Amino acid sequence: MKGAIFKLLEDFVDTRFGPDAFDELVESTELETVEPFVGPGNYPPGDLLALVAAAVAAHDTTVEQFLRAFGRHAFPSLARSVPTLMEGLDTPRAFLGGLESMIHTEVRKLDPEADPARFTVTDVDEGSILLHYRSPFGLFPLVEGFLDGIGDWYETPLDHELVEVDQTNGTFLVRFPDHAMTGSIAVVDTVRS
Amino acid sequence: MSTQSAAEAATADGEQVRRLERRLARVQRENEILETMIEEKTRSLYLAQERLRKGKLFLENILESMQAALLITDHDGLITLAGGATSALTGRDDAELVGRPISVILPSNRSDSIVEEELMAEGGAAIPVLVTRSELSDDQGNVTGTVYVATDISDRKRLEVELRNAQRLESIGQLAAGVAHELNTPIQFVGDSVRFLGDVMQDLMELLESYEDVRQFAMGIDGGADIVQRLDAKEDEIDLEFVRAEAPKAVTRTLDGLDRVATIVKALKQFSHPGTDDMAPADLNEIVLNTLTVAKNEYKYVAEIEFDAGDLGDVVCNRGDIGQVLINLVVNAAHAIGDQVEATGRRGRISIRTVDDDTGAAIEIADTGGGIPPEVQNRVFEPFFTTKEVGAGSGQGLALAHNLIVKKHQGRLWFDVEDGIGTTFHVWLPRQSPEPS
Repeated sequence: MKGAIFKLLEDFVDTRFGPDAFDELVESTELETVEPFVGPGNYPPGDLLALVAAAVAAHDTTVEQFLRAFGRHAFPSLARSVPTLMEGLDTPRAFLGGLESMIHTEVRKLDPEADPARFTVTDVDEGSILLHYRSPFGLFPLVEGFLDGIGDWYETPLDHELVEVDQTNGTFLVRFPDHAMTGSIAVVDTVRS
Repeated sequence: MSTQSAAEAATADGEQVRRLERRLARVQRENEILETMIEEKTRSLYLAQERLRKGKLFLENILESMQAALLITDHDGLITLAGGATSALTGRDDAELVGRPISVILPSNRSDSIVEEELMAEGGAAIPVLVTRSELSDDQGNVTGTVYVATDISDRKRLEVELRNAQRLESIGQLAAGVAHELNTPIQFVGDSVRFLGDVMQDLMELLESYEDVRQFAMGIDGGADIVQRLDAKEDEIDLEFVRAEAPKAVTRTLDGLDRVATIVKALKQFSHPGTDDMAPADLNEIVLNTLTVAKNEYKYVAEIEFDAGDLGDVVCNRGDIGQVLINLVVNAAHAIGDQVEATGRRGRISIRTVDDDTGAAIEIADTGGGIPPEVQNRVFEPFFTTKEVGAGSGQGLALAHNLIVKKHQGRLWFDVEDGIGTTFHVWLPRQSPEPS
């Protein structure tokens, strides 16, 4: 798993639980990784799951709540880190449609070993889509958090629901407000920073 | 602040400092890891660039070494790359072709994957080419254009024409061999009969001589003068004196003509049916004479022939091959002299000499055809090189001769030029049987 996710987790934990919270979490968790996490690195997915489990235990929350909050917190940071990739993806619909073909394609160019979760979209009607999520980890709450974060980023709250689960894969029904399908929202870092 | 509070504050400050130090250490370590990653990435980028550079160089070398024209078009049929031998074959600049329709250079625009077409050169010349077409696809499998590889087949086309000519000549040769075989028998019995008639003629002439005594006797008897008078009248009627003078000559001329016909037939048989590829002892002088017989029509109007036959003994060779070489050299000499005759009106001379040496035998064929221009002397043995006008020469005669003498017989073939006078070709053959090649 990419180190960028661990850095997002670090930012989320420190923001939510205090500036030393992530260091304490790392010290208290038995991890396969010895060195500090850095964004371009690749790390065992089990380390992320172990850190999440430790955080949940330490801060009196649930895995679902933690992951959803993490996803929501992480998305704007991710979007800000790749402004050129976000250009032209002016609506949530456009973003979700281009996630696999554009963003993950670019991710693989930067790191051929990267194996991000796969997202494909099926149109349901003019106002809704089915978002198909394929991952060996089944982190459905994290995806829901990302969808919340996408709504925050585009200032267009999305109505979404996990409608189908097949082991670690799932399908979300995502409904857009009218303007979110065709509207254009400029990506301006200063607005969201 | 109480002592306890101060101590607690100091402890808290110490804890804060330790946390900050710990975080600083982590960040420093992260920086080290990132620097290492950047170095590794930089190194791998350099190596990747090197691989790309070498790969590009490799592909460029392949393109440059291609003997075929390479053309790539987009899906609209516009040329996006021209390389390989395109420029060399067509005289067109590769860069100027880019962006133009493929039809400017391959006008037929047929869709077959392999097809013979014409490649249009600068100035409108059409070069026969074999074109292979294949689709060009992107990494998604979408067809993005077409790759054309056009191989020049001019030589092959010329060889096909030569082969057809050779097959035709072979047929004529077989026909000639058949005709020669059929002529042989009548020539023999006609010759025998004429010789018989000559002998009979001689006997009859002697008999006529003896009739003179009878004539004298008849003049002395009664009624004899009348008989003699009728005989005289008959002799006058048939011009007996002329018959007695010319008949033996006519027989001799007939026999001479028959001998010449027999010689031509024999030479035709040997040239059209030279036998196998085997080497065997042969009389080079006889091969020269046969050559002169067969090629007579080529030189008799333009040149005199001198033949100085040396005492060679047999030389191990393939008489069909040597005959072929000599006829090429004699015909070339006659053609060279023919050009001189047209210019000067004076007949030339072909001098042939056979010479023996310790290790082999040489045949020299000298002509008065003016010589070979210096600028083409080093090309005369090249296949398809000819100075004759289009259609008059295949450019294969001397190449074939060189191959037969040097490679097959392990001999030598060379020439001397006396500028403005003529050329002497030298054929040297080893006396020993050459190793099979």
